[in-house]
Amino acid sequence: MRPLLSVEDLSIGFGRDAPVVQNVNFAVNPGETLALVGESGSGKTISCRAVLRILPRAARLHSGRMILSGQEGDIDLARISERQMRSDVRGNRIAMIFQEPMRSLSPLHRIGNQVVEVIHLHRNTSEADAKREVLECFERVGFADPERTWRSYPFELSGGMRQRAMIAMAMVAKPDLLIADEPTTALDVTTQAQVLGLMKDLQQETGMAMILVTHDLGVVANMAEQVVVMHKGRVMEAGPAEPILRAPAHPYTKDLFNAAPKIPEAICPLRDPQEDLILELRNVTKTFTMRSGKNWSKPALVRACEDVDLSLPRGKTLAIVGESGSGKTTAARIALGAETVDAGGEVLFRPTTGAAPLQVHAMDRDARRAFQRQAQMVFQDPYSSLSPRQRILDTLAEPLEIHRIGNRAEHKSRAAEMLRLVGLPVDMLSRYPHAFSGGQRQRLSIARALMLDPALLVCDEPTSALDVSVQEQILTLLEEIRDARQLSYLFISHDLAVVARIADEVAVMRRGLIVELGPPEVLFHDPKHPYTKALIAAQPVPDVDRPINLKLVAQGAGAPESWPEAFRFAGQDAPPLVPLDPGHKVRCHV
Amino acid sequence: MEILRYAVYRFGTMLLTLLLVSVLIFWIINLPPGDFLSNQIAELRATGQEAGVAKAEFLRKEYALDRSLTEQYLIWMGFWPGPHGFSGMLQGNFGWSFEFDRPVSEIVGESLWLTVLVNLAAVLFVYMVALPLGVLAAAKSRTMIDYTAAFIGYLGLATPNFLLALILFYYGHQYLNLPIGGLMAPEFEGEPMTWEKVKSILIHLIVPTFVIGTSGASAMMQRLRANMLDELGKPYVETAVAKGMRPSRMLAKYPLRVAFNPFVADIGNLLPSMVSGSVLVSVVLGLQTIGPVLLQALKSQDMFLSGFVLMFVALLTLIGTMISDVLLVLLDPRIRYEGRET
Repeated sequence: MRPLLSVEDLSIGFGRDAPVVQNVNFAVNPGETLALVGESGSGKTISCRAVLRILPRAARLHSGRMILSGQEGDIDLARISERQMRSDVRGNRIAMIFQEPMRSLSPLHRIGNQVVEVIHLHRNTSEADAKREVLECFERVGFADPERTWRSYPFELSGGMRQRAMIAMAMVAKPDLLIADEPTTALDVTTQAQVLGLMKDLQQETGMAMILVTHDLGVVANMAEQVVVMHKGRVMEAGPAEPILRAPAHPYTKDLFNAAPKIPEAICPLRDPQEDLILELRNVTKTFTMRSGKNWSKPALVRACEDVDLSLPRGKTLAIVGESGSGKTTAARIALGAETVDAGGEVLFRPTTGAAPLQVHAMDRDARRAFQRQAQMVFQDPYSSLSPRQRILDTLAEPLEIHRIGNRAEHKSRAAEMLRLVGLPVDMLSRYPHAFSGGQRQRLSIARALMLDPALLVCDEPTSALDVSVQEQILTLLEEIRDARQLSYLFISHDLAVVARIADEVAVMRRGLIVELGPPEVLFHDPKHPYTKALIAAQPVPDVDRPINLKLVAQGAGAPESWPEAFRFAGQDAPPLVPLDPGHKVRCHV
Repeated sequence: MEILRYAVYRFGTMLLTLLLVSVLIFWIINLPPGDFLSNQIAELRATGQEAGVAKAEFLRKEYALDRSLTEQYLIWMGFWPGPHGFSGMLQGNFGWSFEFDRPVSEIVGESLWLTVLVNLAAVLFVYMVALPLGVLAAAKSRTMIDYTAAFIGYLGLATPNFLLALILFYYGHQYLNLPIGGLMAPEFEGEPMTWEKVKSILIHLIVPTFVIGTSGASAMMQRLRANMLDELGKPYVETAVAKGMRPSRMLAKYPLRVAFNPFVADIGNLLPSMVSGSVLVSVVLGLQTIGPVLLQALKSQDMFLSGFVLMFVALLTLIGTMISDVLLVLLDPRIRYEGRET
């Protein structure tokens, strides 16, 4: 078969530095999907942007031919004029969708306006015909009320809906090739599954080719016919997806596979509930009041957490898993006393075995300071949680200064000790955060949390901003530190697979409610609740024989009214959490 | 309809604010000890001109300056009957200027409209210069065009206005035969509007507009450039390019719309800062605007005159803010739909 697009010997560089993309070749056949796989900095994004020539201004195309074949003959995208690129290729024959659906749509223009523009740019269609085409397209990508979508602004849609609008925008001119740059990375796992399913359906209907840029081998296994694995600007391995996924030949591809989070194998015997609890959340409910825009209507109440009961045994890890809006982060903030609780709920903290429990939400100033020494937090985004204007030494010493512990020399030796503990060289102390990679920054943030020698660490999605191989290292580090220092973790994540390896117990939350609670092995191999099932089913696994089961996803991620009888409820009448086995609780009717 | 309700609501709050401002203005004007008349009486006594004292005493009674401050305020505003019944700002009586010995409305009359004219021209100039230059500088950032625009901009910011005025007058007169000083040829002053008078005013406006507008324009240009650069880095710009849009249309439709918000919000600040900022320039250029009048009135404690001018500036500010608020709501759906059910 003649490829639709073939990229040959592509090299791109910034200024006089070494090229960031070197001699890259790949080709897409009509109707097929090519996955460009790699970690951040691998050059996968810049290679696919080069096809549309939307590169950062400082980037230079050193060499390369990008042949796009069509009915009027072949054109080399690297050579054609800017005018031809604009009117014939971009948006018309090759369309692109981007990673962040919120920021990729203009916040000030209606969705309809932004989508119909593509038709007006490339065809001479009347206003009414163009609108009809757009509405049809909206319907096909899954908007129930296309007219309403036409009138909506991006901020009125959820993340998944926005990405559907982006897909509609890309599809409306019926391109031959769709380039999707991490189209689902910013989405929740169940939404990701549905969007991927949609893209696959659309591809089958229209016969367009697709280049899918992703870091996730699970997505590749579900979507691609061809794979190109990239690392540091070079192609490591390329070929049909199935053989590569079954038996990767290149060591780098193997590494990527090994780093991908694994689902635990066997069911371990259930452990006895432990008595020595470091942290206990009892009947925690948190209601937020949303001020209404209309002056006279009643403010809306949002339940971020509802009747959350959790307990964390000393030296163990309790994970809270859920999608955005599930209340998992609110629960973590409540556990740290950073958020108040509604009347009737309480959070108990026991600094040492057998100590009298402290009421986290009823402490005076001094008790609070003492508590803060014992409970620290590791944040999600290692780029924004370290001050760019402070040296590492100052960042690390700051907690000690706040609590007036030790002198300057002691601060320094303590900081050096912590750097060694998290696996960074001690001579990094005088450097600024920009000198560090994402993974190293997350190590720094862990070091900072450990400076005060806490007993409890709350980790809020500590690995979700990191590459898979780095994620693996950080998880290992967290495990080692926990076991060496007898720490207890409250671990927040949206990713069941990440949690599976580190947690002793997992609570699955959805819209403020814990729907299922149990050890990770049990949740994976014997999930009871439809939502847990959906989360597991939606997880793309790098195994061509286990595609995403969209039916399970759609059912579990849908409204509680559509769940099977035993779990169904409407409005606020959720059934109670019922213990099925010791240590395994499910929210269902008995 | 929503927007109409909002406009009415904003108008209401504006009136309330204006009331508060009037209290503040009156209080501040009366902070220095004594008033124009008591100062005059003291001076007349010292120089032994007892005849004048009687007239001044009469004026004191006439304008209720012998009453308590609260009463004076209420009478000034027209909430309270004075010696001649209700006759305050609300009733359109702006008071008496003791310094010029004429009603305030007569003194201020023409210069009021000239002030509005000069400042409107300057605001238009600011937007007309700053918009294209700012967008151009951002679109061609880090090129000669950008650097040249920035250089000229900083030059405009750094040059003192009065100096610029003198230079422009000199060269404008020498090479373009532009008139020096004033806002119209002397023969038209106090005359009714004619076509000739309008023409004369327009020609006289050129230099003042330029002088008052330059620094505002360069400041706005720099801010617009920075805003645009921020927006240009955002993914929705990339999306628009990937659709196949021409750069010029893309710039105007997407990033400029977003980057423009702060400038709409600025209208409110621009008006008053120009009135007060142009006092010095008006003195140097000999413009018959309200600025020099205010300066003079404040110096001599001519309270009704200064009170009126300050109220006028406050009104201008409030109207500017209201216009920008309503425009913002029209321009930005995120503000308009805040809290709307989805």
